[in-house]
Amino acid sequence: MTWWRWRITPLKGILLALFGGSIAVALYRLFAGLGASTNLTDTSPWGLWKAVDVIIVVPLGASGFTMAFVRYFLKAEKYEYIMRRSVIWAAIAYLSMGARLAFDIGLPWRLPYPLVFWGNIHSPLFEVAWCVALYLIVLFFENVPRMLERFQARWVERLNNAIHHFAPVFVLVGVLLSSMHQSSLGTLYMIVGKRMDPLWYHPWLNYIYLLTAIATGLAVAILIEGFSSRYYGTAFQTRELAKLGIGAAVALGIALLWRVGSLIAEGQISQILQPRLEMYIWWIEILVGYVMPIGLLSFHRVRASRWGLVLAAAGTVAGMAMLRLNVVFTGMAKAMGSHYVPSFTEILFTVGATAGTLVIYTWFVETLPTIQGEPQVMAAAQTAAD
Amino acid sequence: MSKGMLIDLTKCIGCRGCQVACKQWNDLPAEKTQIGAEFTNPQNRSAYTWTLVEFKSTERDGKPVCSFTKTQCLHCEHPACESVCIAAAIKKTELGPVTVDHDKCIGCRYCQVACPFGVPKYQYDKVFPKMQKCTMCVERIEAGLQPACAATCPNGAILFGDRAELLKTAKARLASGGTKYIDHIYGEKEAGGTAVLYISGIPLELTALKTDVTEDALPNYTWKAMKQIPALLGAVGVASLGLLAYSNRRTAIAAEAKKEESR
Repeated sequence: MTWWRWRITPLKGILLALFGGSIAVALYRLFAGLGASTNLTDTSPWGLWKAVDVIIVVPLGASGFTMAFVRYFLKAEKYEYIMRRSVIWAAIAYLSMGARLAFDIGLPWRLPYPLVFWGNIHSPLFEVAWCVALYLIVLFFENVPRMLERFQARWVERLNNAIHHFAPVFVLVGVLLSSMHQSSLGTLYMIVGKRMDPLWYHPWLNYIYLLTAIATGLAVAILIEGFSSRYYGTAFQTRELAKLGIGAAVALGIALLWRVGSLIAEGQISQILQPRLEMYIWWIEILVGYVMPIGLLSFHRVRASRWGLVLAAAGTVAGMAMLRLNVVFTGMAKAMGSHYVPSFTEILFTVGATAGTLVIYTWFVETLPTIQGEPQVMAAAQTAAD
Repeated sequence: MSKGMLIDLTKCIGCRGCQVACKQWNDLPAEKTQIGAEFTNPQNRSAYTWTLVEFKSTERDGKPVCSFTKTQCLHCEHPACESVCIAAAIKKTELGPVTVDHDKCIGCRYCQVACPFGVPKYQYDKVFPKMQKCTMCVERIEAGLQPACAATCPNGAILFGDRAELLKTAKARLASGGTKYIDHIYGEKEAGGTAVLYISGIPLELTALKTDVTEDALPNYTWKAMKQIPALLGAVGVASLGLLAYSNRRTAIAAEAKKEESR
C-alpha cells in the first residue's frame, strides 16, 4: 500500500499507549457510570473532562479559523501551508472534543438530542453546540481538498475548483461561527455572576474568551510549525510566524488591559495584592499567559528566533488554559464549597484522549502529502499565487 | 395563578415530617445516615433527599439557639437552571413549580453550576443517571392537593397557596408580629424572586438559608452577552469583508505595478 506512509516511532508508541488507556477509561465509564469513574459530586459538577476536554480543547482548535482568516482575508499566500496544517489540526481537535464530551455527559447517546429534537436558545451551551456542529461542516469543506488531491479524477478536480471558488464564503462562515462559540464558552460561567472569585469575575467574560481564543489560535499555529519543522523538516517561516505572534500579543494585550480595567471598575484591584492562594494563582496566570508572551514578542530578536516564538506561543496557550481552569475551579471553589481533585481515571482519560488526538494528527499530516507541502509543490503554489 | 410556599421558621419544630412525607410521596429510597456536628440527617440534600431540615446550633445574646430550616428547591420566578438548560428539559411551569423532563435531559449538569442555591442533584451513582430535585409535588398540585411536605406539617409551618397571597400573609405576619420576626421575607427578592418564601425569627445568617444570594434575575447574566451576538456577527462580518476588499485592492495594485514595470 503506497498510501500508508504513517510510521510508528517510540514517541508515537507512548502516545498510542496513553490513547489506549483513555479508551479503557471510556469503556469503564460507560458501564460503571460517572460516579465510579470520576470524582464529580453535586458541588463539583464540572470537572477535568468539561474543563479540559471541552472548554480548553475548543480554543486549541482556534488555529483553524484564525489561519483561514489570515490566508484568505489578508490574501497572505505565504501562509498556505501553515493554514493547511492548522486547519486539519482544528478539524481533529474539534472532533476529538465532540467525542470526549459524549463521555462527560450523563447519557452519552443523547449528545445530539438538543440539536435534533429540542433546544433552548437562552442556553449558552446550546449555542456552543450549534456553532461547533456547523463549524465542523465548514472544517470539512476546508479540509476535503487535501483528502481528494491524491485522486486524479475529473470530478475531483471540478469539486476542488468549486470549493476553491467558494473558499472565502466558507472562511467567513467559519470566522463568524468561531467568534460565536469561542465567546459563548466564556458566557457559560457568566451565569454565576459574582459567586465567581473577584479576581476572575469579569462582566464580559465572553469577549475575554474570544480574545484569548484568537491569541491561542495564532499561538497554536506557531507551535504546530515549531513541531512540524522539527519533526518533518518543513521550513520554519520565521517572518510569517512573527507576524502571527504580533497578532497574538495584540489580542492578549487588549484582554489583559480589559481584565485589569474591569478589576479597577469593580473596585477589586486591591485583590491582586492581597496575599491568599487565589492571588498567587492569578499572578502566575497573568505572568505566564500575558506578560511573558507580550514581553517576549516585543523584542525584535525574539521574534526572529524559533525558540522565542515557540516559547511565547507556549505561554499564550498555557495562559488560555489557566484562565479556563481558574474560572471553572479556582474561582468557583469557595462558592461551590467543594474540594475537587480529579481521579486517576479522569486524568488518564484526558491525557490519553489528548495523546490520541496528537497521534491522529500525525497520521493525517503524514498520509496527505499536500499538507506538508513538498518543496516543488510549494514553489508551484508560490508561482500560481503570484 | 403561580403557586408557592411560605415557610414560617418560627413555627417549625424540627420534626422532619416534611422530609419523610417527601420521600414517601416521591418514592425516594432511604439513604445511609451519618453522624455530623448537628442533628441534620442525612448531611446534605441529594438526588434521593429533595428536602432536608437543616439544624444549626449557635449562640445569640449568650443563649444557645437552635434553628431548623427546611431547605429544598425554591422554584425561582426566573430560574437560572431553566435558562442554561441546553435541552430545554427544565421548565418553569405556569403553576409555579420548576420541573425537569427526564426524557430531554442529556446530563450536562450545567444547571448544577448555575443554581445559586445548589438545588439540582445528580445521580452520580447510577449508570443511567437523572437530574433530581423538588418538584413542589406538581402532580399533586394539578390534582388540587397541597405538596406532600405542606400537607404533612403538624404545626402549619409550611403554607401552600398563590405566591402573591403568601407574600401578603408574610407581610401581615411581619407587621403584626412585633419583635417575633426579623424584617426580611427571604425569597421575595432573592434571585429575582422565588416561589418559596421564608420568614424567620432569628437572623437569616443563623439559619441554613444562603444569605449571599444576589437579587438579580440570573438569566440576564448570560442573556446580556447572548443578545449581543447579532452585533458581534455584524462587526466581525463587516471587519472581515472590509479586510478582504482591502487585501483584494492591494493585490490588484501590486499586480498593476508589476505590469507597469515589465512594460
